[in-house]
Formats: sequence, C-alpha cells, structure tokens
Amino acid sequence: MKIMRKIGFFSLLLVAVQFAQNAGATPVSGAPYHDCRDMFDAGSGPAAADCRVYKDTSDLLMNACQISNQDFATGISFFSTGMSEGVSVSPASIESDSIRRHVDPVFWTAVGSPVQSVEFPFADAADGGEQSVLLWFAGDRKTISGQRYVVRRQCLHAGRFTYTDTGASSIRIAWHNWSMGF
Amino acid sequence: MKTKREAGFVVLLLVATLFAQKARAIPAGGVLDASHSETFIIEDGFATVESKVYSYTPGEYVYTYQISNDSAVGLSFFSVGIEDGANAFDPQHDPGTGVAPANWDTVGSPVQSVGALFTSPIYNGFSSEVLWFASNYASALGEGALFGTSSGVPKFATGDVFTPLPEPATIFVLGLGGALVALTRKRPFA
Repeated sequence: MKIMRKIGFFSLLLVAVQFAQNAGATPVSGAPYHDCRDMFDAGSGPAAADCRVYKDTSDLLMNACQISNQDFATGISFFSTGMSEGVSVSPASIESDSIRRHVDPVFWTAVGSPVQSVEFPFADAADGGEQSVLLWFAGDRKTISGQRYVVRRQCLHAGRFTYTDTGASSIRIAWHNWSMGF
Repeated sequence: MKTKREAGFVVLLLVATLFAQKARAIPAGGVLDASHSETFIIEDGFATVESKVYSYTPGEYVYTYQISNDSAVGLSFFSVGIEDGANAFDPQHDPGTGVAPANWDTVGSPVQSVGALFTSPIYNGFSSEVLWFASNYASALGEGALFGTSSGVPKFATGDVFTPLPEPATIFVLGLGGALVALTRKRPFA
C-alpha cells in the first residue's frame, strides 16, 4: 500500500517534470537593448515576429521573440533563428501564459554542435489571429566593440496554407534578413 | 484499496505513454504500393527524399520518408503537407536506420502537416531514420519541405513526396462549403 502510494507520487512527479517543458519567465526586465518587428509573407497574408534583445547582468544577450499570425489561410508550425558561427546558446525557454490564443511550441531546441540555429516547432499551429507565447534564449556574445552578431536570420514555416483565390494548397517557408549587430 | 490500485495503474499508464519513444519499424504485412525519389536542390548541393507507400487491409496505409543529404547544409527540419479532408496519425521513426529526429509529430487539428525536427542535423553524407505515419487515405504526390541552416542563413527547398489524398467526395464537400462561404460574403446587406 505504502509502496503503491510512493509509486503514484513518483509517477505524478515525472508527469509534472515532463509537462514543465522548460517554461519560465524571462530573467530580464527594463528597456530592451534592441527592438524590432520583422514582417513575413506567410503565404496569403502577413505574419510578424516581434523581437527584443536585453542585456542581463553579466552582459549576456537575451533574445525574446513573439510571433503573430495575421494570415487566416495559413497555420504557422515552425520558427527558427539562425545563429552566427561560434555563438554559444545557453538557457532557452518559453514563457508560458494562460492567455487564450497564445500558442505554445512543443519544445524549443538548439540545433547542431556547434549551434547553427534555435528552433521552435508547434504541435498546434498558430492560426490566423493567434500569437505564440514568448520564445527566448540567451547568447554569449558580449557587448564589446566591433561588429558582432548573435542572430543572423529568422525563418517561419507554415505547415500548409491554402490560396484563398484558387483553393489550391501548398507548403510555405518564409525567411527574413535580420542581423543584430552592435 | 481497489480504487487506489486502479488510480496508481492509470498514473503509471500515463507516465508510460508520456515517455514512450515513438520509435518502431513499420508494421509487418504491408505491400509496397508506390515509391518516389525526389531531389531537393539546396545551396550548392542537393538532398534526396525517398517516399514510399505501403497498403495493408483496405483503407489502411503507411507512408514512409527517408532523407539523404548531399549538400553542405545541416538539415534540421522536414515537413509533409497534409491536404484538407485527408488524415495522418501514429507518427513513428524506425530506430537504427539513420539520424534520429528529436521530434516527429502531427501539427494542427485537423492535421495540416507532419513535421520532423533534428537536434543533431543530418549532415552531408548522412541519412535520416525512416520516418513514417499511418493514414486511411491512398496516396498522391503532394508537397514536402526541407530546411537547414548554413553559417546562420536559412536554406530550404520544397519538392514532391507521397501524401494522403482526400477522397473526391470529401473534396466536393469542402469545395461546396468554400463556395457557400464565398457567396455569403459577397451578398450585400439589406
């Protein structure tokens, strides 16, 4: 009986850990160091990535992005941020919230060793009128003189979209030139 | 006592489900219906996606995909578009057949695509594991997408892969629905 209770507790703990998904608040506050809105052509309408870069107390750069989809024929299923060569990516996470129509990615992940990108796949696509939760990660490029980049390019993937005029459907990948130099 | 034991069993089952690796070979007994090899031009090289369709009892199909990379781009993402009115379920990857995905799952409800993410990219000269899913719909050539990053720059390509085809009746109903919506929108207000 006691063992059963322990197993149950342990199982619940594992479930909780599994669902935690690295979600947490961004460890920054104050004014952003860099602020921009990138527009993407999601297929038959626009999607935007609002990105902000913060400096934390150790001068690491905290990159936070939120995707807004205004294309009502397209579901966005994937977001990627290309990394400059040699950048080390440390904590990456999502800031979950309970706001309706804010979509969580399945998980975030740094891809490659050395890291070539940070990618966020979504199990439920961000449909028209929906936003992602805040996606963020820290890069190790410190604020020293000269031209340095953490983020090189960003890319949105629409799993499938439908042309409203013809009814035909297709996969869409859109990317945006964006470099954060300092 | 019995209720608690049952509750414990349910919790254990939930844990087992959560941790179940979606890694197994395709079911035995399938008959190869069709195969197609598609070249995706990426950067200065190319990648190949081999897609195959196996049929089982009527109305049961398995779709398989294997990516081979001959480009300088580290491939990290693969997606298959699923048409409205078709379905895709039970996504799995065959262990030991190549680079394993960190995630291979359906997107959206109803499913709009099935996507694979590789934490360790598929580099030049390597192939992915065989990725597969089940469907109740027979095949047609549809669209697939490959994505990777080279020196911080995204590189991608689309090409033909086998994908479930919705039945003509389903397409007709969907088309009728779309036409009705269009007519309703165009009708002026009184």
